[in-house]
Amino acid sequence: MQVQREILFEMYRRMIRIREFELAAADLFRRGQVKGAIHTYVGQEASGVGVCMALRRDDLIAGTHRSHGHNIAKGADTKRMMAEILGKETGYCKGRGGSMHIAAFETGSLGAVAIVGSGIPLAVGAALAFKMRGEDRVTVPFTGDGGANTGSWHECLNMASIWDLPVVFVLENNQWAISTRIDSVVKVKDLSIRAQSYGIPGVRVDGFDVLAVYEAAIEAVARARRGEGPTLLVTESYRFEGHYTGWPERAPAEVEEYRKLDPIPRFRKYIVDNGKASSDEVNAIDAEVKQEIVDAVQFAKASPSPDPATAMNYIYA
Amino acid sequence: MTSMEKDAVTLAPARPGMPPDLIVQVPQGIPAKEMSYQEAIREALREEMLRDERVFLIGEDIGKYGGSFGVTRTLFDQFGPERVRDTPISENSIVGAGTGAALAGMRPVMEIMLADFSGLAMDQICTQAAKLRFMTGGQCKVPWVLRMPQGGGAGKSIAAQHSQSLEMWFANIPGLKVVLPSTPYDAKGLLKAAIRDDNPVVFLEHKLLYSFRGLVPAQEYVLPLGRCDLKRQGKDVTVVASGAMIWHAMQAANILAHEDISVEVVDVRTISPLDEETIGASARKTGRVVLVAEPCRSYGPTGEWGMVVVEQAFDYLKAPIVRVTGRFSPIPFADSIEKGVWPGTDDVVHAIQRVMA
Amino acid sequence: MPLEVFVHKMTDHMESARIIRWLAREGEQVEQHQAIIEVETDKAVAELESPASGILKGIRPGAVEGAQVPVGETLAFIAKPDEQVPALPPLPSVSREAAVEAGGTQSAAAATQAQVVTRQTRATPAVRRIARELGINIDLVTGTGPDGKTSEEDVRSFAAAKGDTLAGTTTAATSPEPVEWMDLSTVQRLTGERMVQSIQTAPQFALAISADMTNALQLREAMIDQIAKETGGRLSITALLVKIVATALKNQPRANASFEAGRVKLHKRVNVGVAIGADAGLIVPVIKETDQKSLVQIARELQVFREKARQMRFSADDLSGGTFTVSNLGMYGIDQFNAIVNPPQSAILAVGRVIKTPVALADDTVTPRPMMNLTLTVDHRAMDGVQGAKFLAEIKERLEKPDLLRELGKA
Repeated sequence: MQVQREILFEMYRRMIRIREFELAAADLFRRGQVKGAIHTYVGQEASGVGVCMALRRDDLIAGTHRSHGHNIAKGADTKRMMAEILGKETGYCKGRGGSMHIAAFETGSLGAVAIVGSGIPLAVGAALAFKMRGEDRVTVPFTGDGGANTGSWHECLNMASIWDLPVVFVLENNQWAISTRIDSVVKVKDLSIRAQSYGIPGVRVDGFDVLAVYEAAIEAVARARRGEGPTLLVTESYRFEGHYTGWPERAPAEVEEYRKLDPIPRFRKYIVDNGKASSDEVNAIDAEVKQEIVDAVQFAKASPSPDPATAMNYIYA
Repeated sequence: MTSMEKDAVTLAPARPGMPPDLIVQVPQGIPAKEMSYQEAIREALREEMLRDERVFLIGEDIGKYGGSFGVTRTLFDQFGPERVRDTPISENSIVGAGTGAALAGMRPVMEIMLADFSGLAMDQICTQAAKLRFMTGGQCKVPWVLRMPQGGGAGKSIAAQHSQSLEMWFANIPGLKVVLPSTPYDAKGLLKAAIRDDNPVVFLEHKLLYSFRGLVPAQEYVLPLGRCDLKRQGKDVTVVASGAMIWHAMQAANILAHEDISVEVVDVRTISPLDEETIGASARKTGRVVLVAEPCRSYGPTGEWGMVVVEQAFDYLKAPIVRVTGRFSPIPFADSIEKGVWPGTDDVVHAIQRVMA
Repeated sequence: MPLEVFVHKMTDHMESARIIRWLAREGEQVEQHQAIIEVETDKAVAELESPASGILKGIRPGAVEGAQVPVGETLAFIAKPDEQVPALPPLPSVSREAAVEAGGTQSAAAATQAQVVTRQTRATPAVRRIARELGINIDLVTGTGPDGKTSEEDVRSFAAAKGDTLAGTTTAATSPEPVEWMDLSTVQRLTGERMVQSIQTAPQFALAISADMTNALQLREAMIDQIAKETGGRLSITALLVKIVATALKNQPRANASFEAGRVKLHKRVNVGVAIGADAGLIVPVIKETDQKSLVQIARELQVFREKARQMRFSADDLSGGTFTVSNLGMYGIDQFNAIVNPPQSAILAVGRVIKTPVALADDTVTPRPMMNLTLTVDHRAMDGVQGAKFLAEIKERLEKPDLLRELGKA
């Protein structure tokens, strides 16, 4: 598939943006400046970026607890993302949501959802709304291998399939659900075959290959936009960090093996080797993004916390 | 045990035979028609669907079949399968999809066949829909209505998993509104309000009230959420009640009028947010309070209403607050022990007499 | 064997006394009968004497200045120099209320206070609010409902009654009058409480008579030297009256009695108390077996009492056991007054000054005579008007008749 240079650059930029953001967030967390829990997407950037680059701004994604990457991939502003993680009034959710409920609605994101599997019905419902209104918008609920065993997931694949809703179900199989290996909770090796029980196409791609993901996503999204119904898109990937920052390394050797598949250097090599971009250009993006994240951290730190007088706002519309 | 168990003489169910003129809410001279609670709800749905194309219905067996309590009959024919949408048995995703649709600008009215089934959907109702506006710092709103029949009555024998009154499950969740109408007039007016409200509203319908009839204005009207209704004015004792219990309260009030006891009946109508002022004003006026609610005693609504009375009217109390509630037990099947699970008119009469002593 | 030092019961109802100060120190050698502690009872200051000669040892923790100590509790020991004495535990505390009761002078007011503190007022919130609005302390309202529950009626009746007596009371809105606070001495306070109790429990009425003191004054003149030798002064009217009263009490035992538990207790002995004004207040020392004593002896005893009054140095014995009281305010210029019965006695004689008064004689001529008003206040439970009249009549007779007076001079 021929992909324009601008798109390749944007893909790279978003992946590196996610990476830098996550590393910075994890660092702040370890320094005690980010409270609660954060679940980083390090290593999975290609999956989220590949999918989101196939979407329009007015398409909607729904996330999981691990959705910094999804939101950034969809186009969220890192300043407001960082401010939200630090619980500041200038964050996307005015400090009310934090990492696990972070949502950049204006970019077409329904946000992170902290309950595993619970974001999927939201995406299905939004797709239903689009269909009822005759809009050609598409929704993409992300889930992990753990989420694919929830009742919600199955109910939603069923419901979306019978109504031919414009949904692309993206299952990011990073092999682990907290401490549970996938092969101990799922009988089949290839999760994409579950699509068959719902009568929809199931596609499985290498989640470390951003272009492969992108290509598969383009097709699934097009199908949905045409009114042909949902697709299950499984991206095989891995997270390099623990379930949440501070979680002990579960299998250092395994992690080391997967780090060799790191999608970012892989993609960088690809675009440079194939003459799509020069090293300088790529370095420039690196530097730009690094600075962007430094600025984002500064912005977040300098921002005010929510005023206690507003504590009761937003409970009711 | 119900509070009044040892004093109860006969425990009559809320009979369909309770006369419509027991509760009169439409003033004389206003053009009105008599209809059942079920019909009133259907009317509300119909009117709101005509008024706003974003309103649609979704649930199990609500389409051609017309809903397991017949509420949505004829709506499928009028509005078609897209707007009166049957679903698989997937309560959690029915509500989740409804929530997603609401986030995307629709105004769904979802039906869960019985409140007892809402357990399947608690995550989407209480953890997602209720909190989305707040968690996102106001970036979205969730304007849905979740309609659920609930409640029981002696002789119905639908037992433990089909007869519960579960308003308290939802009343304790900030972000949700919870409504429990007692008459056709209230049902129609409050459902319209709920559909127009931009918040998630759990609209509980008492299944035994579906056949109860009453006058409903011919002209369009909407009732406010979050306000009690003074069903009957009185000066000696305040009875605060909700749902089917209102009918028992009104009957009890008529009985006691013969004993020269003037009973004021406050219909809570919106469980949450609770209209504390009306309850407080009535309690201050009479100084004697009886609370009647169908859910079982412990941690039921009467606990909340009782504290509201204490907070609002303590210095005016002439007697301890008395409550009449459902028995703290799963609901049995056999008639002989199903009887007595819920309060009846006599229980309310005795409670009032106790508080007047 | 060490001997215990403790507060003796000095009056009928005494349950405790307050230590004013120790007059000897731990380890000091004391002699038998030496005063070692000064204590205050309800009636007066008294001294405790050492029971033996020896070393004062083992003073009990808590037995310090100001401590209220129960009667009979060991406060210290008198022992030989090398003798060991046991270590005493700290004194049990005595409550204020008990201290008040100790003197047998529990006043009605104090009783009401105690009652108020322990009583649990039961009233609904609505009734309490009404009480607050009316400015009533609900704990003072007697509840007439079941179990003593206080109703709105009760509160409103109380308020109406109170309103009558509170007319003219300043409200918070007006500025208060400037005042200075003065504390009462123990004696004053206890006297007040005793008088309240007297008024509240005994139905009292007064009988008045006036006696022609011509002959009595002549007797006084006749006895000048005799009395001067004994007392260094003149025979006081009071002394004369005390003697006469004692005789009359012997003759009319009904007046020498107390009303107790529905019966009249006739005292075998006549002990006439005399009210004396001291700095600390009104004191009533008692002349024991007054009827047995001569006029001169009585005069002397009165003299001693007056001296003791100056220093408030009465023994407990001085102040207890009275069966009748005489109170003379004539020296202060009072013409006549009604005294309040001194409980548990059932009568008291109030005496005014000798006034030169025009008197109509039998032949209707008018002549000035030295007249003196005598007012007998009587507890009607113990004595009625006729009995009181008879008693008063005898006193008058003994004051007026020369032959009876002459007998006094001899005794």
